[in-house]
Amino acid sequence: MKNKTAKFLILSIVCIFALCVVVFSLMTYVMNKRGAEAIGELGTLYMSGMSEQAATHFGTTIELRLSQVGALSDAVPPPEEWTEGMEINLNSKARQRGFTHLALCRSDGTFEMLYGRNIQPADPQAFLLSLSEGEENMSAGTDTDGNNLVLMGIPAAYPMESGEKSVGLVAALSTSYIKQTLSLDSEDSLIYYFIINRDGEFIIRDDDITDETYFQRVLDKYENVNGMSGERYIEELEAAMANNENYTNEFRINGERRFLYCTGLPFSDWYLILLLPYGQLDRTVNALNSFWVIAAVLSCLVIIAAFGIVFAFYLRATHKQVRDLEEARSLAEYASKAKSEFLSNMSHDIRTPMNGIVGMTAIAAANLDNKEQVSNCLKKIDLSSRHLLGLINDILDMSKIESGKLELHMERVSIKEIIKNVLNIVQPQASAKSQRLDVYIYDGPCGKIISDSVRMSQILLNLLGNAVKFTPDGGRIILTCREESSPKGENFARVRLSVKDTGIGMTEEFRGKIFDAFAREDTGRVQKTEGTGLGMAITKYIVDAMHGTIDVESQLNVGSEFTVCLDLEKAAPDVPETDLNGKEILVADGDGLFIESLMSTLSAAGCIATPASDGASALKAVKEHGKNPFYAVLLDANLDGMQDLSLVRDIVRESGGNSIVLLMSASDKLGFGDQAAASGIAGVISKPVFRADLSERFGRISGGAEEKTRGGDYDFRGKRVLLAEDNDLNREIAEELLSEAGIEVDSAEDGKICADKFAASPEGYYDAVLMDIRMPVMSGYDATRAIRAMERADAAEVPIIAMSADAFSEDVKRCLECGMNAHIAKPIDMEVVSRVLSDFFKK
Amino acid sequence: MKRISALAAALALLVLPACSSIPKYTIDRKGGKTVEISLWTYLVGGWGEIRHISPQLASFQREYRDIRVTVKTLDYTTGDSVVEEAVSKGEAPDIILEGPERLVANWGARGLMADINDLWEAESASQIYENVKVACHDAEGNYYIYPMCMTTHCMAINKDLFIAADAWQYVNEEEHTWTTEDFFNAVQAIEQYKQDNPDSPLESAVSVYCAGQGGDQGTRALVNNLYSGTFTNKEHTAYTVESEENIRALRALYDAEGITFDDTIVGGDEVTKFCKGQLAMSLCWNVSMEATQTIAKSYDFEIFPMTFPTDDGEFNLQGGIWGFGIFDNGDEARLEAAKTLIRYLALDNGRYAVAVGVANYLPVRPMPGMYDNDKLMNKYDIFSRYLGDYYQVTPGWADARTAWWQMLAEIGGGTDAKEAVHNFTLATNKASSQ
Repeated sequence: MKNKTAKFLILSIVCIFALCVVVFSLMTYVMNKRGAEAIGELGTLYMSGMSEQAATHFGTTIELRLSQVGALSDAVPPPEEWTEGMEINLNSKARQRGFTHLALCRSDGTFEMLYGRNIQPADPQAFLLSLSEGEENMSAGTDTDGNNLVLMGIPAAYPMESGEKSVGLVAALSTSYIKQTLSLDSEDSLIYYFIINRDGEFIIRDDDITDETYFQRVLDKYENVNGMSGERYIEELEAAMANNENYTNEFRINGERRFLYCTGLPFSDWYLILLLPYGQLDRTVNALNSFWVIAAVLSCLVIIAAFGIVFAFYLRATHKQVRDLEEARSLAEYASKAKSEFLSNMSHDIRTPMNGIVGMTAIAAANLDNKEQVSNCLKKIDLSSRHLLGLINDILDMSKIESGKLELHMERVSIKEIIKNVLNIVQPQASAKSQRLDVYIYDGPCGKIISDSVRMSQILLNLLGNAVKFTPDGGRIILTCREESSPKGENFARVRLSVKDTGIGMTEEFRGKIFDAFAREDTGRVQKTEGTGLGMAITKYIVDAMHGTIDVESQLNVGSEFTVCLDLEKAAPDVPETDLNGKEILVADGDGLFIESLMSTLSAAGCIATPASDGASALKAVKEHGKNPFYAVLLDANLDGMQDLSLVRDIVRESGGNSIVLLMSASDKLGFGDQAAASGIAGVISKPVFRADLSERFGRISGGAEEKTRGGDYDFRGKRVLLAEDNDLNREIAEELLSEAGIEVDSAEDGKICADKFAASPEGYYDAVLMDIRMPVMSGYDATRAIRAMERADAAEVPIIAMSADAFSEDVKRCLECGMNAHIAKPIDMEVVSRVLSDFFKK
Repeated sequence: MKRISALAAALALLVLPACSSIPKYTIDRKGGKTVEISLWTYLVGGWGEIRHISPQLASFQREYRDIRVTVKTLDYTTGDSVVEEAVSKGEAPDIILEGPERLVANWGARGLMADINDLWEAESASQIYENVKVACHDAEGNYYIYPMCMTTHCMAINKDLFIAADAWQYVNEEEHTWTTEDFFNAVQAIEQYKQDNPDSPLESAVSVYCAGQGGDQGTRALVNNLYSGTFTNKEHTAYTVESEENIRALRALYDAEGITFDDTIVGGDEVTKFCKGQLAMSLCWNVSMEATQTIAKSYDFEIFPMTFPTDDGEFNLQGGIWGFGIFDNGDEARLEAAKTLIRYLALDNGRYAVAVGVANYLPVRPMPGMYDNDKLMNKYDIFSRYLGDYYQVTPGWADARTAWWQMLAEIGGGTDAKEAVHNFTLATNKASSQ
């Protein structure tokens, strides 16, 4: 393809160049020819015009001069007899008119000179005959000094000294006068001039011409007369003169082309020969032609160069287009293949849980009497449903990303909450696979920041979900969160989240395209793993949207580590931090990394932390502190001696009850019951331990508030919730789940009924409202606005929580904008619902 | 017949159709700005008439298209005052045609003229007669005139009357000369004829006219030649009128019967009287005068030109020289244009012959054949050999001329010649000392 185009280009340029050469050569040839013709035409026009003017001027001059001779005769009319006065008078007037000679012509053709040297006409007989016949005449002549003269005679019968009468009065002028009058010897003259008679004899000629006659000059000097012989040319010229016709021709002399024009002069048998040398004109026109040729060639080269450049650009553009097309095709093929695989995977991945749901439902239906069997089926249906929900969420997110509609909704969020929420989701999955999920929080306060909590949660969820998914049973997953100073300034914090696993890892090749949509490693191991192949693409997009980075390190069959780095704006904390500066705290945990991370957190808070890797070490440290007990002792719930809380009691005893003893556990359900409080435990702090947790807990204890050990199960007895849900099934499920949590539920089938029920209830009757969005008659948005608009004390305060399948961030945002307090995505996860309600009920 | 450059050739072809001036087939090689110059001419033969000057200027302007010449003619009655007025207004002409007595002795001496020494470097200038050359420059050798033509002033006699009065015997017919004695004898014979013929129109043989300076060259020549007197020294630095020779001559003229001192006429009047037969001789004559009077048919007798009588056979005739001078108007372009015109008219033989012919005087350099077969010119050609010193360039010339005719009038009025001559000397010295 490329070679073909190049060949076409070269061939095109060569053809164009050849065409230009041919065209411009033809044009040059034609121009040269036309130039020569133009010179000829110009010469003819010029010469004929000049000749006409010269002839006219000559005629006018001669006529004037003849008239002056006539005027002379009129001024001095011939007297009866010769007188001296007559002669003096004639002489005086003739001189004043510039005549160099004056004479009376006798009847025999001789002259009686009045002044000047004796004169002689070139053809005395013809001159005499003309005067005798009463005609004015002009003739060439000479004087006795050999000066060439122009004789002008008029018939006049003057008495002469000899007594006879003259036949004419003759005045003469030097031929130089004719030259001057006609400007024939002007140095500025472009043209060579001769005046000749019919015999070719020179009347006026250049001083340097020595030829006897013009005809002789033609024979001697003219090299070529338009292809004809000199004799032939002379014959033609003589014939033209005889016929009183103008004559033009062209000849060469001294290698120079000249144009010739011959025309007759009036009042004479003289002929004016004008010769125009073409040399200068030829050179001028040739120079013009040369200029034209050079200009044409240069123009041609410029045009060809322009064509070449255009072709080069075109070729490059074509190549680029081809490359782009090929890339696009590859991408399209890859995308098509990926989508085909995706569809295939989807088909498999959707069908699998669907099959599970359908199958388990069928099994459950067939074993309704077998409670254990039904329970087992329902668990599997639940798992399959959740998986199916995850698939749908990812597909929808990816769809939004590809359509450019994914937006970030920045708000004040807590990294702690995000991590804990995500852990709440992932921890059970990891536990289910007997995986160890450790979370280490380093250094920073990890307080409030400005970010999109949903998308940040999504990042963590995807990373941890993948880690769980691709880590074999019994494997280990580590989530590390570090807060560092940000290059963006003090108002920003660099949050580095790292998820490391001991999973299957990935190949080098796949690592390069792990963030591509629909990318899944095509191995048997991965094929068996559920997933859409969209999670990492979505994660990458979100990280990019947050102007962060995501890196991956992986080793096949060893594990992978994903690190997300985000520069996030800091937000003010909800409550001021408790001053722990200088407090001595003992940290006892069997996980060295955990100790390390917690100690860094405590150090960042200004505490003096003492580590202990087991219960004995912890007790020993307490004992050694003696009379200066630790301000607090943080004990992992899994340490030796914690099964019966003996370690706690020993520590309390040794410290004299002056140390605050807190248990640390990754689980909300410790199962110590009332024994915990009895043993002296001040409270339980869940892992991972954030600085904010410590600040809050110590602050509360210092303030005297009693910490109750949470049992883990939510107890919402006495709480009353108004549930707005138009779908009967969903409403039934929600009522059942909420009732199980001890909540008294009032239901409404649409938004209007909900608003009416709230309006009809006494103030403070409902502790919360769970509001579906899409409902007939009145939507959840309008119902919320209606409630908020009511004039009653609890209208503005009652928590209204959206519970909707419209779970996109913009849906959440819209809910909050219309007055709702929170959003819970369907399908209902009672864990989530309980946590949200718990938060609001606390308030 | 020369060629010009290719550019001019191409331009000629291009401009040909649009060019309407005559002739269309020549090219103005100079281009540039047109220079306008003025030519003022006194009555020097045909040069006193514009119609005779125009053809020559037309020819000049055909060749020199960037020089435009305007012409003005002056007569001898008002010409000087016109020029003086123009000079006083800073409007002096560029070229003026007159003699050395004005161009060199007057305007040149006053610093009004530009020296034209470079014109004298031409080959044709070297051929100018020496006695003409010396009249064309000042004492420092600066030329203020380029001479065009000349004539020899002589006297004329009525040959018919002389024959009738039997005075022809005192004339050397072949040489056109006579002696002082012959002259006075002829005057006496004419006087006798007058007395014998009371019906004759003859009033006197000779009239010493002294009403003004017109034609004073005749009276000066007569007085100086009679007894070999001089008018100035040879160096033209002092007037030598007050001498025994001149006083003797004046007394002789005053005392002679038949010679009258007439303070009512000038030279022109004397010529008229001569042509009418009222005077037997004219002291104010030259070839041009004869041509003019002949053409005018103002006389009906034969005129015979003569030298002035002398006692020693050394004839010193007064010459008339005319040429071109250039006023220094402070414009180099006009000065150069004026010189170009002078070169054009006076250097080339062909054009010079025409210029001299129009003046109807003699050339100032040899022009063989120019007056061949011209009987009148040949008749006067003999006087060229008697051309005397051109002393009109002596400083104070204008005042000396005035003093001269006033002196003659005094003598005519009865003042003794010696006293009158002394008065002349006093007047000229006074003038020259101012």
